[in-house]
Amino acid sequence: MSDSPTLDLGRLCEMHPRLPGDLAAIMAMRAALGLQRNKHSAGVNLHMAIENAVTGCALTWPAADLGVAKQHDHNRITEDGAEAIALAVAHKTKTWRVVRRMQREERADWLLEHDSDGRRKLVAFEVSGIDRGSIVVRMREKLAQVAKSTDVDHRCAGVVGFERPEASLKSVKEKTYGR
Amino acid sequence: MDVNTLNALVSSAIWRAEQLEDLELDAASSAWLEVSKLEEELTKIKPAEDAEGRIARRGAVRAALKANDFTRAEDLAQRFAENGASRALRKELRDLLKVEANGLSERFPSASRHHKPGEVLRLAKLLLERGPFLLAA
Amino acid sequence: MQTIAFYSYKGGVGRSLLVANAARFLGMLGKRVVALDLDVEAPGLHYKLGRATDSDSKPAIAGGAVPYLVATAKGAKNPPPLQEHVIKLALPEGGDGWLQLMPAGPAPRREYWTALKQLRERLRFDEPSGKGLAALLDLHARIEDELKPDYLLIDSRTGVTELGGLATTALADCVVCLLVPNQESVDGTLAIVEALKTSSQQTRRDPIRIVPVVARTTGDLASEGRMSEGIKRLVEIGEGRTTDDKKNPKPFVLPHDSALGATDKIVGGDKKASAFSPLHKAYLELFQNLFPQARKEAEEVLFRLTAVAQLRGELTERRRRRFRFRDAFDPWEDSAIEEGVVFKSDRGKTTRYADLVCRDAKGDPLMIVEYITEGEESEALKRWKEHGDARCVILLHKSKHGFGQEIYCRSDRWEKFLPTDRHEPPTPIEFQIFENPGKRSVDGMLEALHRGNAELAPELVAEWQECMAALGMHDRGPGPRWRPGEARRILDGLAATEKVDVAVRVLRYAARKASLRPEYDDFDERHGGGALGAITEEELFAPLFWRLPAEAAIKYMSEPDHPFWTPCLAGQRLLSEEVMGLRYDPLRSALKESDSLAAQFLDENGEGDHDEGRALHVIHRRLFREGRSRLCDDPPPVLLWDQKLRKDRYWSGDLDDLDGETHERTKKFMAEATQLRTWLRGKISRNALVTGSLLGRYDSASGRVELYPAILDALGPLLGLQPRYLKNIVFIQLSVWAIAHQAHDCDGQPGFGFAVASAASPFQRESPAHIALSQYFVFRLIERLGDISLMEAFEKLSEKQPEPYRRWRSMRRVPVERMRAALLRARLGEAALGLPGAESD
Repeated sequence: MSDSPTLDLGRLCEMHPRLPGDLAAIMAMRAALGLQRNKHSAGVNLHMAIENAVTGCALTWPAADLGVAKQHDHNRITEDGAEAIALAVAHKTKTWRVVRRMQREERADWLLEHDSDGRRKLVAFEVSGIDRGSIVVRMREKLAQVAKSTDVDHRCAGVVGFERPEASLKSVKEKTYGR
Repeated sequence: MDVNTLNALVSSAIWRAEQLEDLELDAASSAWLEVSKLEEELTKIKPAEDAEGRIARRGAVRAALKANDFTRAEDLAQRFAENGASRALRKELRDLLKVEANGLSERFPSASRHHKPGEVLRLAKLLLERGPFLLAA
Repeated sequence: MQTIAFYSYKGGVGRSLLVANAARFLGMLGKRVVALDLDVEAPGLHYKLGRATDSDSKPAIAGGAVPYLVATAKGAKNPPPLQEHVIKLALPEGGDGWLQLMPAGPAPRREYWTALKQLRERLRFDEPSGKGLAALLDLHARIEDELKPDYLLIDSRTGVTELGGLATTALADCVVCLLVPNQESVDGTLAIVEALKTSSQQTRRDPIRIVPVVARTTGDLASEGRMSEGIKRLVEIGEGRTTDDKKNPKPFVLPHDSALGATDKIVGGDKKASAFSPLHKAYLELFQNLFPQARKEAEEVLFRLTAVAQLRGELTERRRRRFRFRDAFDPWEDSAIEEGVVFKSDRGKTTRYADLVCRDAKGDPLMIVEYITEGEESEALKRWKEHGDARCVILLHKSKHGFGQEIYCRSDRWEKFLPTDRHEPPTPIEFQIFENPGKRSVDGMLEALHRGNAELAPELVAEWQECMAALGMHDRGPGPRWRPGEARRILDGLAATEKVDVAVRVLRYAARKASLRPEYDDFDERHGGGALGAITEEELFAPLFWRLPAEAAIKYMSEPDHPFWTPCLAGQRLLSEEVMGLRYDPLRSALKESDSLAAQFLDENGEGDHDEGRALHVIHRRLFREGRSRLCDDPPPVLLWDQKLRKDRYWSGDLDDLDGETHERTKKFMAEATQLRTWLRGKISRNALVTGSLLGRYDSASGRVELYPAILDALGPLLGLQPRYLKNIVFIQLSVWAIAHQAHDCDGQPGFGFAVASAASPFQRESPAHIALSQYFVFRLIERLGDISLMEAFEKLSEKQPEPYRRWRSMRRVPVERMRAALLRARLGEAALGLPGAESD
């Protein structure tokens, strides 16, 4: 876990080198729009529930012009913005890094990796965002979904709520999939 | 091309195809074809025993189906099956094809009694590529 | 199910026709057939199979392939019932076959084009998801699974189209490729056939049969050249005819039949020639190859189709009669004829198939045509008696030289059908005119004419001509068809026509349509030749002119057919030349006058618009609009004078001097029938019924003859005469005066030269000698006409006229020539005008 109390969405590419720069930029911009339309400004405290541990940090981001929010799909702002925040949190709290994006039918958005005991482990990471309201129910749904993902070592769901703001990461109890 | 570059490309391609699909644009079909081709490139680097390899193989076939290129999907599945895919993976790939075919059969039950969905899709692709009477080169 | 697609690279080669014929052929052979029209941009199969509309002229079906595909474009899990999109066609009973048509849709109505537009929007056959193609394959599969036909015949689209390509590559087991023998068609078809062969290997399990057919050929196909090579190549790729020369296979050929375009069906050859025309044989050969069956059954079926098609063609064509350009009666409209109809008996227990049904405007059947085998006649007639209201049945059958037909007719549905001696089927009008169209006698036609059926006028004139016709009448004398007695009967019957409009029609049809300019003449063309034409004028028109109601002759003379038409003057010539010995030719003088009038439109230098047309129009207007004859509703001068003299005993003026009050009073007097009759009785009792100025008038200034119909209508019953004959007599009398005044002798001098009394003054009268002379010529004309009714009327009238009008009796034995000679001497001053046989005056 990083010692820095700040999480900067503008440095998403540094956190995840394999994340394409243009994709990272648009995700970060949508995250900014999602936060700003909820009246948050850079430096807001992001409440984090990592597995069952609660923590927080200051969230910053390159400011976005709210005027362009209308040009973006409302849901895409929420979802892509959530992915930016969740990937940042996953890196900060678990040192996970993006390998690649996955197709939806794989039951997860992203394939992440991390080192564990010198071995490379793969994580199926399913992310969802909620503009307003509780993230609890969404978390249950996403966990059920990502649990079906195969060919990975871990399966994890991340849900981001923009109202508070908050981010929750939870892993499915691991099963052994080996081929 | 190295795997990181390919992974980055396939990430962008998937993201773009999903955006187009959500918007129900005709360009989604060609976007998924791009995804299929990138996934296919990944399969050349990542073996079938590798988790990423299996993900890429499923991804290549699935993306071909989403691009309405049943023939390509069939060919890829055939090739992956012949080149080291496990029984489970082969079954997954067959199931992908079956679901697609079943979709057509369910819609046109009389036709499905006389023609395999694969035949229909193959002919449709031929017509698209070569026009009526398959006259075009 | 075997699917056969009929394709052509170019249109207009007879593809849809071939599909229709093949479908009927197979149905009649006992096969179960579905015909499917996929020529969606220009559908026509429903027309070829006679199902474009039902009896109410509405589209026979609202559905079809296009509406069906629109409904199932996204999926066919709950497809519409196929029965909503197919039409059942009737076939003869006894077989197991049936024939159903799935048209493209209710083309050419607007709703069809709307559906076609929707199809293009919703369905792409090359859609990569396969939905478009699956929809078409689903339709094909449903036809096979639900209708279960033995054959599905597809009328495919011409050219290179998705649907055309699919019908042939994906649906068909066999493709019949039609082409015509020109390079464009051959090259295009070759490209398609080669593609079909190649594509079938990629798209199918079984190889596809390809049968090239060269259509609309005239003569043998060329054996050399690029086109010939192309056709050879087609046959090599596909199939050809079986011949002895296996190294040079020949294509199937459908020769051109010029009547095909008119009838739109298979047509047999000349009845006198072989039973099968070249086209007929070619069809047989092709069908044997496409649908291998026992040859005998195939021949029978094809023969039946040919016979019916040929008869249908005859029913809708105008027949040429021997001496006429066209038949008098209109033929059947194509829309009035229905093919392949099953009738139920009145009790509904039995059915009977009619090959053709001809209906009236209300849709009721008038005439039935059935093709039967030998020995079936009485059974067929018995059945048709039970099956409805038709009054004519035509039974077609095979005969030694092709096919024969027997025509049976009856008067109403309760009677049996009896044989007739008709050689030709009745036309629609004959069912209206004749109770029993089999009894088409002259008497029947005359009766109908007298009832008011003016359409019979040209028919009766033609009959008269048939009776008077002779083979090579110019120099070889009369032939076997010459029946002068019958011709006379027709003439007398025509002359007895009372209705004026019918009588006018009779005159028009018997007349020469001459005009001031010969280029407008069509007499010879219409009457089939100069000699017969002249005879018709002289022997038919001329007598009818005087014998038909005078109103008809007057109307005929004054109502032109076209701007430069002039009436036939044969009637006047009969009177002037044959009876009176004078020459009467107003047309020649009119022509001279028009030439000089036209010259006046030129300027001093002789240039400008030599407006001949305008001149002719002026002359024509003067000649005929001003009128040579007319019926006058004004009171006759005698009555006017009488009314004036009652008020003013000493009045001695002219007609022009009469005041308006006298005119009004006289009109009122005339309107009072009783008063008029009383007045006329007075005239009768005093033998004072003068013709001029009382019964009619000849105006020497204008050359116009007038009759006073009100006087004549009132006078007739008083004399015990039909007014119609009275008018004839007065018309003849006045015409004699007119001709005597206007005509010329053979030396060009004016006729008999007597001055006509002025009609303006009651104190002037025609000279008694001239009246007597005129009466003599009237008598001679009526004698020449041989009309008893006219003679009786003439005698009765003259009895009540002043003495000079009766002198003809004492002159009746004087031959015409002697009378003419005496008149000539008088004119030349050699003798006083002492009329031979008459009291001297």
